[in-house]
Amino acid sequence: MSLAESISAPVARPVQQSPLKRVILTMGGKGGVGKTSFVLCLAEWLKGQGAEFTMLDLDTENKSRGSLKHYFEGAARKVDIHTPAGLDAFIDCLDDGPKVILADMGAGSGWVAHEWFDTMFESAQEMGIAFTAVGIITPDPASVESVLSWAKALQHKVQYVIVENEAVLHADFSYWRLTEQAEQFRQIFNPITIPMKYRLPDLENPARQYGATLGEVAARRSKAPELERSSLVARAQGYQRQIFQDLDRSKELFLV
Amino acid sequence: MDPTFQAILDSLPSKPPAPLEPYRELIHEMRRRGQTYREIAQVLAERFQIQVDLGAIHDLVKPRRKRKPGPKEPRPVSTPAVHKPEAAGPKGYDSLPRPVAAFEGRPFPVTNKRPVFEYDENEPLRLISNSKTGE
Repeated sequence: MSLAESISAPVARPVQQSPLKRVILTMGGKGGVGKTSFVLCLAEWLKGQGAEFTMLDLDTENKSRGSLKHYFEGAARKVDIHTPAGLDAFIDCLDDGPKVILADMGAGSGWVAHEWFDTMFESAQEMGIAFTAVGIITPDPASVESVLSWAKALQHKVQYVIVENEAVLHADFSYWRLTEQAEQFRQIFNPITIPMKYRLPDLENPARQYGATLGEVAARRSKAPELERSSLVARAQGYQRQIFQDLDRSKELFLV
Repeated sequence: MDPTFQAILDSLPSKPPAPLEPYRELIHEMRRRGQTYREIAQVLAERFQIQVDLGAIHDLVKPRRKRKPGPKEPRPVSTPAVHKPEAAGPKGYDSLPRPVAAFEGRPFPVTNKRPVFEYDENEPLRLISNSKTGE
């Protein structure tokens, strides 16, 4: 059916009474900090909550391994944000689909996102859309700078969740916990902080190679033979349990 | 009305009609039939060569919010401010019309303004211990 024909076609769609909707997006300034790892955990937690949600993979690098689409083939929708419509997919997906969007922004998406919020936020807010911005912090000060830059642009338009990703053993978060600028951020926005514990490379690397989520490893449903070791299964269960407990405590920022 | 105010109002240029106003009926009907904002924008672009963003369409079709019936709750108020005339105000101050005079001395609503987060990307992150000791 052409677009013109579709205009005149009757549509039996119920009128919605301004439902509250939510977009959860990663603050995608710095690459390799663990954005997708956290989004995977969050997606499995949302499923466990019985929440319906749309997954958007906005990683413009278009790499196959490690992207959201790699883990959730068919379920994660790839969106090119470098178009005039930019992030309008947020609004359109919420218009027709589930009330929650989980968007993995990918590195280098800051400018597009900031511009979109400048022009579209008020309309989105009037549509009942709330935004949760997830910043991933590692010991690398660049990850802190990235989150602060996003916060400067987004200000109070979003609610903030900070994930402290122990990307290395004995991770030192001094640049996040002990700097003036980060302290000012915490005082103004009072973000929820979620720790993401250090994960063994024996688990993390094959999981990434095979596109296996923590939940799949924990449930022995991964396709990788090396991930069937009982010790790794137990590790996966432990990691998942810990992060799910933290998500349970801050569910108001992830659900509607 | 004060003649000065009236003169200002008369001198203001009349506001041009909203660019989507001629298409209001069409947009409402398309919306009623379940078209998304993106689809509506596409039709406007194809048929009328008008480029609009989705927010503008939403502004046109958004429902007016109705106040719920019931008694109004009083707004939070601060301690009434006492107006003190400046001892040495600018020259001619007293001769200016003072439209707020009727409200002076009345309580006014407290504005709950949220602080702005300021951050300079060109500055290095400053460790609190270093900046306090001046290192």
